[in-house]
Amino acid sequence: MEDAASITSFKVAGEFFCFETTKIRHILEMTAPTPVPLSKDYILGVVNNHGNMTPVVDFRKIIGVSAEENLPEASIVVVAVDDSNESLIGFKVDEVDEVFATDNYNMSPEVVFEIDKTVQKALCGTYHIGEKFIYKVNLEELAKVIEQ
Amino acid sequence: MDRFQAKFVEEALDNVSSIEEALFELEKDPENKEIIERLFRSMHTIKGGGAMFGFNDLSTFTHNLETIYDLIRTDKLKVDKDIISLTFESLDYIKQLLDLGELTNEEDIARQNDYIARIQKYFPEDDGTSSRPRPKLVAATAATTQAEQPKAAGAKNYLIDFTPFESLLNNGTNPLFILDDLTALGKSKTIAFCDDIKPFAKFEPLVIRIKWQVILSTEQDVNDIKDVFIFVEDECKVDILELPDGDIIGNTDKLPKMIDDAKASYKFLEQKDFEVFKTAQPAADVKKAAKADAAKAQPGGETKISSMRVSSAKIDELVNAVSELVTMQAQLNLFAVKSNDPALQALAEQMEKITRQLRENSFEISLIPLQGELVRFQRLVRDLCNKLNKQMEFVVEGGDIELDKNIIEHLTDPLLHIIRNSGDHGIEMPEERIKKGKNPKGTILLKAYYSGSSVIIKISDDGKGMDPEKILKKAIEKGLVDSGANMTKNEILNLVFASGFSTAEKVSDVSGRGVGMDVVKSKIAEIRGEVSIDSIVDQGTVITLELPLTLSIIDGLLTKVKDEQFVVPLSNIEKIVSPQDVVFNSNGTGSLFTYRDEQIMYIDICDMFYSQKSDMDKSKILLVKQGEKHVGLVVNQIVGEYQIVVKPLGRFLRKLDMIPGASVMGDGSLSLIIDTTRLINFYNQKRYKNQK
Amino acid sequence: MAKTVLIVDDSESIREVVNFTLQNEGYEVLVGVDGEDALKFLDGRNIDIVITDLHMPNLDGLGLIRKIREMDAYKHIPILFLTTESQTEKKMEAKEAGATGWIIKPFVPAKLLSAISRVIR
Repeated sequence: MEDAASITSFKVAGEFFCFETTKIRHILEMTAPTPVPLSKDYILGVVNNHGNMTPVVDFRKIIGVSAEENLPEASIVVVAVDDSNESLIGFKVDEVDEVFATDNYNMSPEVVFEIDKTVQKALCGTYHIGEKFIYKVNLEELAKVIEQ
Repeated sequence: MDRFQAKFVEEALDNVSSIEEALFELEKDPENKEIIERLFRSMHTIKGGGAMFGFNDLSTFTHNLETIYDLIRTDKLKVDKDIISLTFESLDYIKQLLDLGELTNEEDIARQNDYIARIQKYFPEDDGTSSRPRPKLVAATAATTQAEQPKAAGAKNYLIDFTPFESLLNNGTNPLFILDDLTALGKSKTIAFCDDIKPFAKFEPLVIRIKWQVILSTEQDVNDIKDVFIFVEDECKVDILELPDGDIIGNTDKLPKMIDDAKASYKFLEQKDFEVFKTAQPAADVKKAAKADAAKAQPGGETKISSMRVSSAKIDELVNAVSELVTMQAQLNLFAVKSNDPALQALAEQMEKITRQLRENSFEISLIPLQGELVRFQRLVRDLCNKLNKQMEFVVEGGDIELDKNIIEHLTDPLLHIIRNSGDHGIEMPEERIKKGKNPKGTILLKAYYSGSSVIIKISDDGKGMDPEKILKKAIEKGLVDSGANMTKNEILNLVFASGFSTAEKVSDVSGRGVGMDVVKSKIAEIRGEVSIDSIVDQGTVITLELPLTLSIIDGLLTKVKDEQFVVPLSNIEKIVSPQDVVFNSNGTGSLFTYRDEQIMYIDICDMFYSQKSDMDKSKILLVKQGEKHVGLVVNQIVGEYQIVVKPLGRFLRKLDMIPGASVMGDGSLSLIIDTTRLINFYNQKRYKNQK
Repeated sequence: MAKTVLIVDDSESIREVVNFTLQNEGYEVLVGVDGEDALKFLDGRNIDIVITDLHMPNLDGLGLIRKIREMDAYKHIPILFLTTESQTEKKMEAKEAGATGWIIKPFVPAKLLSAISRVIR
């Protein structure tokens, strides 16, 4: 897992997070997902992602920050957790930031950003790149939470 | 050749399956020649193909196995249980060999030899001709024919008499090709004897009346000469005579006259005529005689192959493309309606018809019969009998039923598990069965049939059944239900599907693998199927699977709940009624109405999904069948009927099983699909909890 | 003009090998999956040679050979049959039915081609 060569960072509620770039399948413009009744509140609904019905999670809500409607740069980052179409899931983020090669940076295991306990486990470390502190999201862990 | 190997393996596996099938038949009808022929033919094909595609060990092994069946079909050996068991085991081994290819390590080779030795025990000691194994012989044929024959040292002279029978031309043989081949072996002189040819008026184009003599000087072996005539052995007379060494063909002083004389007298030259070329040599007559008795004809097999093989990936592609087409069609329809152009509308309508037809066809293509999987179950029951010392019969009704291949793929494991359970826990030991007054031989029945747009598969056994009291007790112990719970027998029995419940006291060797009935349920749920159970103590257990015919495309009713679009599979809906046509009963805990003298529970989907009561006057009620009863589902608007391509929502929304998928509509919007059975179950569970 | 070969075998792998080998050699190839299936090609069109397996469902090789020999258009075309071993009695039967020759399985492509070249050129 740690040998992934690059990460893609994104901004949510003023903080930076990142996924391994290899997990990312698409970055979609923000469109209104079709809501799915009786699903978890942070699931915004499903979108048609090139023929795959992909659930979209509001990243703000899942980390316990209040939702924000009018974000001009909002996008949906679609990842494949275990590489299968089955495991495709989109995250609505405030803004997609940058792609970093991780060769030159070390990830420290501490995460100073505090959120809900179940989700906290999914943040597995911090990159300090330039001025930014970027929290690394362990998608497998996050997937477990969403799947519950 | 490598590129054909995969094909061969696939085909060989098919052959193994048909052998397995035939074995089960043979077990019941051991004298049936037709079955034995079929077995023999399949083994023969594996053997032949094995040698061709580089599976020589497989070929050798199968040759031995085939020999047993050759002995059986020629009445030298009788079918018995041991032979059938050995054959089953051998088939498993053949499957391994197909996987392994050529055996390279000592261990594998030793194991193969052990297997072969066990098979050869059935070969009679003295019958050397038909039964002695010839390991490697088959495999070696291809490689060695050419290379290993010793070449005769130096050129030898031969006199070859070639007298075609009149019928030679009948079988498509061209004698000139034979002469060409013969003269290509070395230097030669050919004499044609044409005297017998009829005058032109009486010419018979199909009858050959020429004979030839060839004087051949060649370094090739005499067998190579014989080889030239191999196809025509019985349509001509061929004598190959050795002539003295030396340059006979180059001789100009005696040979031309000899040839002329022979032609003139229409008489073949004789071996002794050539003695003038050399001092006398012992005449080694190498005439050949090939005689064989025509044996009785073998009847051809009866397995019908009237189909072609297409890779399942291609079928998936087809189904996907058709799915896209269906979606596009919906868009076209929408566009046509908006356009107000009657020509375009007519065209769209035509297109829709064809699209529907295409959809149905491609859907049918992806259906495969359940039959193919049944052999495995039969095997399982047979193995269980041996392992547990029980007597059981596995009976199938409706094995020809067809299901989507994706469903079948997901079905095998759960079925194996259910049948294993029946054999292991359901059917009693023979003594126990006799005590209960039952047939010592238990029966496991698999029955499959269509019911509407579903397929029902029932697996029933006549074993000891399940005791609801024990189940309830156990469920309470495990904390699955409250001790005071008031449950029907049916509800109790179905607790076995709850996760964390397993009826077996210990994980047995047979049922083992740590898989419980809850896994069966979730596996079946993955293919939108339902499982239920019924059981009577000492009479047996029935497990019923209800499965959809297909997973991908359905006819759906597009409805609106609040302002959101939902699709309900048309097949689930019995009737659409207006709230004006029913009488609502306001008393009681649940929501009920009476329609045509039936009390019907109804669910206001808007209330359930959005906690917002529907305006009944503006709504519609979908009547769906749930078990024996009807249930009414209230939706707020009915849009129309559509062909719907079901796309799953993936792993993150799987828990929400009442919405198993979504579909892209003509205008690009998404509609969620409602599984009515699950929705009703969910509603009932919630109601049950609320009541508590 | 390319010669046309009709191959008939119920084993798909064998069909593929034969088909591949022959097409590579520039033959036109027609493929039947059993005797019954092969008959549909025997509609009077030009066929230079038939290569058929003997053990087949529906209509076996012997049956096919006999049928071909009854057809005026194909009475005299060469017919080779595939046989697994040098089973003499099988060969005799096939010859009696009207076969021209045979090819013993297993075969390598070269062997197949040389057998064909014995009967058509």
